[in-house]
Amino acid sequence: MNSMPPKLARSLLKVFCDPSFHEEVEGDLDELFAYNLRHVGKRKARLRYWGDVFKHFNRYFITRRSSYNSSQNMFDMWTSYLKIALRNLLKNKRYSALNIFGLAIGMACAILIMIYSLHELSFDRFHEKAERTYLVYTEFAGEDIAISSAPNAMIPTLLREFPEVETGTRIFNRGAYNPYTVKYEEHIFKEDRLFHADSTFFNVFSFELIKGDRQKCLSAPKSVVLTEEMALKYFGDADPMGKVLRIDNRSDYLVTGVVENIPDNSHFHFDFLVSYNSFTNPFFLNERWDNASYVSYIVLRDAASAEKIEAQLPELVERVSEKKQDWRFTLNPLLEVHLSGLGVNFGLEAQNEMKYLYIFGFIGVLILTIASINYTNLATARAVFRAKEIGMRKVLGAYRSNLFSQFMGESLMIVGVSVLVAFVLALLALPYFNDLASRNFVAADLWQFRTLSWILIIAGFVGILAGSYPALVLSGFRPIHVLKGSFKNSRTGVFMRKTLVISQFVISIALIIGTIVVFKQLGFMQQKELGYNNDNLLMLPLSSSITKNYPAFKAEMLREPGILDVTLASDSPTKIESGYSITIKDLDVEKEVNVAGLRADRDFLGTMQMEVIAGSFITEADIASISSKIPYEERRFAFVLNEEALVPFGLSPEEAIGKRAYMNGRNGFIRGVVRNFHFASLREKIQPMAFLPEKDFNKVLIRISGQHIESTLSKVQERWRRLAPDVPFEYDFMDDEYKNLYNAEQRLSSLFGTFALLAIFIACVGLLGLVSFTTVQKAREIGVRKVLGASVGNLVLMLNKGFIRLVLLAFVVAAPLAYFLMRGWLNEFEYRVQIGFWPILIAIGVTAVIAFMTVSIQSFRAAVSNPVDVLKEE
Amino acid sequence: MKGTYLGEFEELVLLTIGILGENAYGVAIKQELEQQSKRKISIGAVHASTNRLVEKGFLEAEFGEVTKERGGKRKKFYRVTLYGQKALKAAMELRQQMWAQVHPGAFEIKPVNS
Repeated sequence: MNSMPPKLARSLLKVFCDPSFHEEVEGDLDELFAYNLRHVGKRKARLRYWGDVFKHFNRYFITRRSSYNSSQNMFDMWTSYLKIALRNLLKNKRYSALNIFGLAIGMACAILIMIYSLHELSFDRFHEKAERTYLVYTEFAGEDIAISSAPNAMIPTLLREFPEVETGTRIFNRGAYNPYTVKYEEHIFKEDRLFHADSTFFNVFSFELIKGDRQKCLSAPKSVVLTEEMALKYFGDADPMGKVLRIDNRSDYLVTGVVENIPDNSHFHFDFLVSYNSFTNPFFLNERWDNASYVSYIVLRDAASAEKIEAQLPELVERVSEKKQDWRFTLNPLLEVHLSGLGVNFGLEAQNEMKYLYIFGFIGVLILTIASINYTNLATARAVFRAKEIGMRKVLGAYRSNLFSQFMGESLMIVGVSVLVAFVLALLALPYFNDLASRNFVAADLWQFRTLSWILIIAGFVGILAGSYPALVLSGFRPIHVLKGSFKNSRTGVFMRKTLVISQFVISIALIIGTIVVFKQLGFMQQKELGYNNDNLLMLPLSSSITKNYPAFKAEMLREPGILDVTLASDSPTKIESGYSITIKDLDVEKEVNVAGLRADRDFLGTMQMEVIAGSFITEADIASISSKIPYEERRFAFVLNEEALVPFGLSPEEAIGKRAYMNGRNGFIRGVVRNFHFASLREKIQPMAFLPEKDFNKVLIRISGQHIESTLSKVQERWRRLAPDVPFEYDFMDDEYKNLYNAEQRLSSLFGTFALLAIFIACVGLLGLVSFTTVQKAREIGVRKVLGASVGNLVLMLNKGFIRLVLLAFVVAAPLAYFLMRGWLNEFEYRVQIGFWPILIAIGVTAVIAFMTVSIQSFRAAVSNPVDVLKEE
Repeated sequence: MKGTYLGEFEELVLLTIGILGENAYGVAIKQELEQQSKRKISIGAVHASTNRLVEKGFLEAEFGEVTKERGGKRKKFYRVTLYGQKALKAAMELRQQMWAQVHPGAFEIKPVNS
């Protein structure tokens, strides 16, 4: 039969050609082909056939199926569909409720995750010049750390040298660990969100001023601009303009402006802005390049010039500073600051990372998938009950496409109802979610056009995802089979449903394993021996009134029996911010090693309960030998290092003692070596560090006895009030400080926990629905078995067996998956737990028990039912 | 309905169907038209044209008998409707009327019958 027209061309025609023309066209083409075959030969005939097929690809022939729909009364048809859909919903109330509720929970999660993501992505966009604003970062040679600040000379230099720079501002923040005392009449508070800013601050940022002049409010020395909230806190209803605030009990500042409260989606929040020229110390006023403590923002006239300026910076800085520079400066767009993961230093609050948005989004998609699978499963399982309807419709002339759109419409309707429920659920869950995500969403955030349109998109997505498979299956039934009554769920259908259930449980089990591992690591980090004792250790800010008379203050404090020790340090031992570099002399190797530096009082070691392994800690004599009476060059500094700091020099602790050392302009020697202790998060390896004997402290550390903490605290407070009346008694427990290092992990663990719970819940809802349909289908089998003597136990076991097998199968897939994912996560930690068997065993145990109970509820009911009820109708 | 404008090719198709009488279906129309006009005509063009003419109401179509030829596919026979005939006639009259008014000195060739 070689004289047939090309098969492919023929089927192509069949696909594209409108059925109402197809017969004529194909017939004519075949006839022509036969004619050509006789007259021009086979090859040409085939070629012409192809050509003719292609010539039919125009608007007259390409499928126009809708053209005969339009001739029917579609409105009546859709009304009928709607009626049938509603009747079906109401007929199976339990099924409908399961369906709608399951979908709603999934969508509520998705909605919350969506508003969270939209919020995170909206950071700093409200500034008019946001697109052209850049933050200057400083990178130190040899270390891959970038900090979000620059020398104080940076902004003035850039403004002078580059006409492309429109404006810029510096912000100086003394740090959250060193708050200011702000006083107005009898109102006195510690404030840590007080920044010094250039007069151009409001040219860079578009924060709204309620009172005061944008251009002038930060021009004069000793001016302060405060937020609405602060105005209310200090002045109540009175007009704050022109009032005077006393800051740090030293100087008076005139209120020159009130700014609207800072929006949540700003990458930094201030309460007070003080004019930069309020500084009197030349340390701040002179333009210097040997520091990087000023958060510096510039606005370019054209964003395109950023690269050019960045490229010219090294040369410019060397010229202006007249010194070789080994620091590198980069410009980073303001809009990327919040999610870049680079962070913002100097106490301007923690930023987010794109990574977490992805994790959030991924979990959202997972939950949504589980919920959609539920719907798909329940809908296809129920196909049996709709079979007769489908058969009848088909016999009466419905096309498959009609039925497809009917069931698709039904799915969309259920999704529509669910989305309303989801909206309400999301509203109800907002406070809890805010807690989880540490954000402040309000109901109004849900009512925005952008949010609502995204919700619609999610709903449409779910509707199509969940509805298309059932619609495809249901519309594909053969009327002759279903009407004969011999219809059963097809084998492929059952297989598909089992696969879907398995994937639901894979997701749930993986999430549970994830939760347990995160919890385990968190527990490990909080319980690990840190090398010092952080129980019952209070940390307070130091003020000048205490420093002035410290020996008396300490003696007085120690008189309280609940207070065991008092000491001073420059930083919190969980967060050492200063960095130095040390060189040890008289060695073959000549090296500079970067160390974290902590200035501490001589009793620091005792108070912290750390261990010296060689030499001693800083002594009274060491402190005396660097007192200000001695000329600087003659001072000999006693350094105490940790073990890690000796490693690069290849020294043992005993060898190191007494060696001469040099550290950023300080000549000295090594007084002692302390055992390594963790002064940062356990994510990082312990770094080299050094204690310095200098008396420049910011913190008071108080060790109290563990008994009667409440009463001890109130006694400490009483003494504190008497001895340091200018400093509010605002203390932190060191162990809480330490736990705060793990906020991100803490959040991740509650996130995982919550979503694991939801996932398993939705999966069980799906399971329940599925079991109930299986038991209905197997009702007769159960009846017969019962009559023949099967016990209730036997029957329950029989019904459960299949489902438990699915859960076990899911476990086999989920366990290695979760294992590898979580191992990757754990690798971020220098000090970490082993995953071990327990998390996996617990996960499977929990899932199996929950699934077994869910299934049993239904199977037990079927098993105890009276066999007569099902067997009598035959 | 789209306009009642009759294109040149459509006019020829209508006339061909008139010539063929009872036997006017796709392939026959194509072959007759090729013979008459001495030019190559694709079957696709014929189909597009007949479809459009049916849509415009100039043609009506009817399937023939199922026969062994053409692999059991029926032929679709076309007949020019009264409306179609009127349109043809109007087109012819328009031409004649305009030929009659052509300025005697304008053309070197004269219309056949006048």
